[in-house]
Amino acid sequence: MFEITDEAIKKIEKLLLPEGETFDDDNGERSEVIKCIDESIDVNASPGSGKTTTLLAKLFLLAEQMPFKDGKGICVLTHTNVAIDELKLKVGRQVDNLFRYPNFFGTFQKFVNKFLAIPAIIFLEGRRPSYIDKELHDKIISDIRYVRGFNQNIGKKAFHYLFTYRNREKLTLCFDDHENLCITDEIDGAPLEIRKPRSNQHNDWSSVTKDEISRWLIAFKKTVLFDFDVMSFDDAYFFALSYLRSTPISEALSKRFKYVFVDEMQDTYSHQEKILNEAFDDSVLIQRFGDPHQAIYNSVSVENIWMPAEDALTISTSKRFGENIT
Amino acid sequence: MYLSELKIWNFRKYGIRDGEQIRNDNPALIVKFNSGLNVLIGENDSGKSSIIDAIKHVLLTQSHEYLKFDDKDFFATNKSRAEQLKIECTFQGFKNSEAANFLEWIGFDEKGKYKLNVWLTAKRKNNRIIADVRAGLDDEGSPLDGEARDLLRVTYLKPLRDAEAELTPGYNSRFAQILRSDDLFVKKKNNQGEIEKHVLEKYVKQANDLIKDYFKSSQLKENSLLGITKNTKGAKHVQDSIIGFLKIFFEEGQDIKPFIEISGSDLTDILRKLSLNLEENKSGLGSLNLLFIAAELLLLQEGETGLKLALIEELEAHLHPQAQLRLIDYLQKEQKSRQFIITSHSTTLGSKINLKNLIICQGEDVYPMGKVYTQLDPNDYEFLQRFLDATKANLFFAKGVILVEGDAENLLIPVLADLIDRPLHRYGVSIVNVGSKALLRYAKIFKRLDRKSMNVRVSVVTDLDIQQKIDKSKNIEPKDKVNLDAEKSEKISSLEDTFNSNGLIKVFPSPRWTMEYDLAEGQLAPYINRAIHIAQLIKGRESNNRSCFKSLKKDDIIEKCKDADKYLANQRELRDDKSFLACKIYEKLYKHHASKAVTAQYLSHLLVNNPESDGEDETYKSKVKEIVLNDEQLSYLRDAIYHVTKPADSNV
Repeated sequence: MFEITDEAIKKIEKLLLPEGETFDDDNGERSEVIKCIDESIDVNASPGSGKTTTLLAKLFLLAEQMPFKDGKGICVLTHTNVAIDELKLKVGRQVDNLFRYPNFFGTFQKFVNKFLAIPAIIFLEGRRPSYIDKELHDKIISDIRYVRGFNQNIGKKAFHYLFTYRNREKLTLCFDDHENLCITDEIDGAPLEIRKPRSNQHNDWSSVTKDEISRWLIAFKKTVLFDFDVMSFDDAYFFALSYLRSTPISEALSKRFKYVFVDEMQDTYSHQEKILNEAFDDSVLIQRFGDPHQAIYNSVSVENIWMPAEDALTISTSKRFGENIT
Repeated sequence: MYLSELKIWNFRKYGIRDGEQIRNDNPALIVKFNSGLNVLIGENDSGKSSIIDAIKHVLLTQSHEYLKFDDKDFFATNKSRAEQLKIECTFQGFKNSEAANFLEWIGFDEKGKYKLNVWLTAKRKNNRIIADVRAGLDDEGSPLDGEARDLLRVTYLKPLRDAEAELTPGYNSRFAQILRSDDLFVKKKNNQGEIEKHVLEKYVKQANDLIKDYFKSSQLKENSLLGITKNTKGAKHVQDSIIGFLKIFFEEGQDIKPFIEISGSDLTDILRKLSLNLEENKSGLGSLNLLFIAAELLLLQEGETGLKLALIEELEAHLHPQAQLRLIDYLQKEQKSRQFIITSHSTTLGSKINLKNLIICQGEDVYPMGKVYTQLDPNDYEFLQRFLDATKANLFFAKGVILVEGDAENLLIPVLADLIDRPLHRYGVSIVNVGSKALLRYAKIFKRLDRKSMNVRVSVVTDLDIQQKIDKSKNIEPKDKVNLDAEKSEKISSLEDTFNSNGLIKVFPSPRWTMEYDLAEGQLAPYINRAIHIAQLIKGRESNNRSCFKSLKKDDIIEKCKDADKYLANQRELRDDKSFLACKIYEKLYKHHASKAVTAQYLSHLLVNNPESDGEDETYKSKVKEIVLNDEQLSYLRDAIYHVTKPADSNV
């Protein structure tokens, strides 16, 4: 195993930081984070502490060592394309191999599509999906009631339910405890409990009707997925998790990537964290960089907010690093 | 992981139907490979090389051989040449660590096992050929990354190797290439990301330092390690005189410092200087070839990442049969996650190879002979394997096969074939004697489960085995003919059910009992009667130590023929009936007074030679020929011969 030396870090400062700035800080925190390359860690960074630049320096120094002896790659997961573009702009020319096979560098969604959701559809349907697109998906869902035949018999009740009561675009598939296909409104969540809109226990639908509606909703979802050939991002996660759970692909993923780095871990949804946990085993070094205080508001409930592990490394300086030199 | 299947559309002779578009379900050729040894055997132009080349085009070679399509690689009919071709390789048997390298393209088969398809399409357009390689389990796939494709490169040994040249040091040294594919010869980076000197480079540098020193000193330093004693002279004067000349040639004031060293101290140069030797003296070509193959096998070492597939064309090139056998034996046993696809037209090799490793190339198709591909009972395979060692080549390389159950048929049928103008060798027909009626079921090896039919005509010649009346002392008398026809047709249809298939494989049962009996009931009765009497004499002599090596003289034969004729005449006086006489003639064989094989041998002799005349007797011969062509009792043998050669009504 190689190690990252102080000289190497000095060299990278010149490339990444403005003239005169340095990764040095009072407690040697950044250098510790950069040098830590043989264990899984959380990095708890304070706002404005420059965690992304620190991660970048680390990636740069690792990429210089590639190809690794075992031929494995690096997987870098981000939440936005902005972050990727920024990274490419800064270091792309020097270490372009970072963005190529056998590495992966992209958003969670792209990772899920590429390695899990698309292969899952190929496995099921023998062809790749045409669209993984939230906007198109949502438009089809809202327009579909105008399609003849959909709005008849039980479909009428199901539409009534769908369009008065639920966040219909969130509708996706799930499995219940008995591996039966069900409908849910939360990725990897529990099956939906169907109730007649604005009803009470006296004028609610019968359980037979509810079953029928449930089956209708599943068939409806399948039509969108396989006939319209359009899936939402949530659907992609459903297929990704199913693929991970029904095939040995996680073992291959774990042999493919030596490191997994997550940027802005605090913005990670629970279903994304599930992917992270289920795709990679203990042999993969997973390093999660985040700032729990900076979690952008999302609909995920409070208990799902990322908390760094107790032995997390920290980058605590709240000042812009470099400023303390002058 | 291993290459489990190859599919070809419009590459060379493997064309899809005229006017059809290339689709997933219409390849012109499908070849299934197993994970260990695969031997493609066939005549010239049977497609062996096209299969090897197709694989090379998709997977490329470790030696980075330059591969390019030309127009002739596209299938052509006499009307037109295909515009597009496609070659697809399927891989299976992945370990997780191998699957990891192909995550972007890999998928799962119906059984939930990893599967990867990699295909190449080439199009002819404006006098250019554009090739594209993609991978995936769907029709569309996605482009295969170059680095991932590199992991699929095959080790390729071309036919007619010039082993000596390949192993000789030099710019094109194959040995250097082989060494460089080992991880040890890939230069590493140090912690600073700088490339480190290789150990061999350090060695050469030390040698170079010594050499420079040698040309700088007039007296060398004592060095007990290298065995250099005091007062050993250095070559300073050589370098000095060069410098002397240069000073004259160059302008005054220019600093000239020539030096002498081993040139090319870079790792690549060092490896190119290495040669692999077997002995101090020059080795024979055969040994060099073995040495070369051994070196190539280095590339397939355990632990190397990527596909471990070796393609060897004409393994027999430059190797004598014993060396071939040893090598194929090794390859057959030694298959730890390495795959070999070998081509050969050596029948020596063919006989040594397990049926499961054998793929016959014939016409526009290939026929793997493993148990999953034929209707032969799996339990029979092991036995057939042992039995076939010597005759397999006959079985699979013939255009037609006559399968017989005993020596007698084996000896007699070729003679009959000559007499009816269907000499077997002219039609590439071989007779395979399986030695027992039960083993005729081996014919099922030609019946295939993959719905292909090998273009080999097979005649199965067998006895109908309906006995006459036999008493306790093995005397034979004709039986009542009640129900005979019913029994016959029942037996015949049961045999036909067992053997007959797609018009190529047909069974030919004798009219009633055994071949000898049935001949005795026909117009050849006097001939077989004579042959039995001669065989009886030989049997008698064999049991007598003193006379067993006494050779049979012409007079003995004439005498025995007379005895035989007298015997037949006496019997005829008792009862002039075809069946009765046949029983009496056959009785001697049945009682083991004479050997069936020897009888057949002398019958063959008597069919073409008149024992009473010296030299050719055309009248005698034409009489026999007349019988052989017309005797009803012989019709099953005639038909068996016609089936694998040419029908009776067509002339040669």
